[in-house]
Amino acid sequence: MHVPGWHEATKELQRQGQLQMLGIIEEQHPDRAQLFMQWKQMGWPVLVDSYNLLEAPYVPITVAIDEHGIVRHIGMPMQDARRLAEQFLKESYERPVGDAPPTRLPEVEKLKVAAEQQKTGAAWRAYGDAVAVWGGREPFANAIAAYEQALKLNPHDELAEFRLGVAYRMRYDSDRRRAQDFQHAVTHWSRALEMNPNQYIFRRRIQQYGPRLSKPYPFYDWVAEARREIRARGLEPATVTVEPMGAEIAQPERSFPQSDVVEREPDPQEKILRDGGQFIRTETTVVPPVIDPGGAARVHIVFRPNWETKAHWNNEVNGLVLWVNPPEGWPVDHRAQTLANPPQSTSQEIRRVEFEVRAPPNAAGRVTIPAYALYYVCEDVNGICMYRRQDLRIPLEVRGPARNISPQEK
Amino acid sequence: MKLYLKILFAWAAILAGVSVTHAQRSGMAPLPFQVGEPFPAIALPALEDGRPRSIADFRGQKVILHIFASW
Repeated sequence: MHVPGWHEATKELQRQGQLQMLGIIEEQHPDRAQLFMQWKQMGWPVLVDSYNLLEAPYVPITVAIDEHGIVRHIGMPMQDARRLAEQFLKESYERPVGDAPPTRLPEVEKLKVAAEQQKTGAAWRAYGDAVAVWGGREPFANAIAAYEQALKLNPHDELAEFRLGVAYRMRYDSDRRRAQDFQHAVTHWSRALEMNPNQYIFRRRIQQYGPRLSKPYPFYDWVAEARREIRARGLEPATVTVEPMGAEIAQPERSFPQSDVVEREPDPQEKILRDGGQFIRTETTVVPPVIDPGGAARVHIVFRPNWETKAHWNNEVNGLVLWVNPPEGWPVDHRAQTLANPPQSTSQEIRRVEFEVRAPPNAAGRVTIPAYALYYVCEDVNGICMYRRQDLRIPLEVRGPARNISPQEK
Repeated sequence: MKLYLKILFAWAAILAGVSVTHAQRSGMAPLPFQVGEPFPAIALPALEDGRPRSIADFRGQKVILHIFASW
């Protein structure tokens, strides 16, 4: 890999103090990069740029910067790292005229006042950037509001669309999560990518959670190996707040991975009593929300026990079953999935299931994919345990002849 | 105009037409920084402790900067 290869090739130069390595990471979940650095034993500083304030169009990019902060080389191949580094160290450059400015934090409140006075998309985006990264108590809500205001003033701002998506996903991963945050994130990333299809940071952010047909590589399949190797060194692996799973560790496929196992529908006559969310609340996210005819999407379904009814999973019987009933001509990778129960007899964890669906070549417009989940659940208000079914209606849109999706469509 | 000047201007025009940035040469999207220009001193949180840092904190040292992702 590019960055570890550079590190290995220049370790001696770094140890001698001749060369400083520095990283800027463009990831939605930056603590995974911390695990990566620990795994590859790279101890140099890394800065976090989840919102892509740098406006990097792709990664990796390796840049040689002289002692005055001036860029001297861009795009240095790893295969030649040692020679390029030694050559760079021998080069000498004149100090530019004037003092270089120190690191300055953006002044969040001043930027807010400026946005309110200037009333431009760019000013609101600048405020959104500042509050998203440095914003204190409610960074996500304030950043979301700022970016949405930026887009009202300039609906063609791809940076505001992308960063709005980042803020929504950040809030989804926090204890401030609101319903549909993940879907909003994907919708805004998709709009950003439509505006600038050459922006690979935008593209990778969607592919990370998307179908295997669209993946260039498995994004986080290295995590398990990293943890094993770190433990073998006698160390505890760095923790990650959002465990990569499902789409994020799935291997790419070059043909749609349709199961040829004949699966039996568990409740074809709809006899199981319904749970309308009283016990388990569900949320679905479709990635991407709009696909081409013949294209694939990955559906993420989250099941959360309802705290108000003190609901919890009953693990002494069969695990949660998801059954998908796609329309005729719409293949799915799994019609039936059964989750394994944890070892304890009851639990309250969030459960997640994902599946992929492919549109037929002649599809167009909005479609609903029906599905349902069957599960054993108990509640502590009346002390009842029961077997319930929850119906799901998963919306998907197939791109027809070229048309614009308005910002109001969510 | 003297002939040698015409030839000189013609070569300048040709060279201006084929002059490309690193990004264009590599077929990739243009970068927000260029050789010979200061690298943007945007304050970003350090991964280790969240404190604000930028390239400005490394003045006086030669730096190899990697813009990357762990995937």
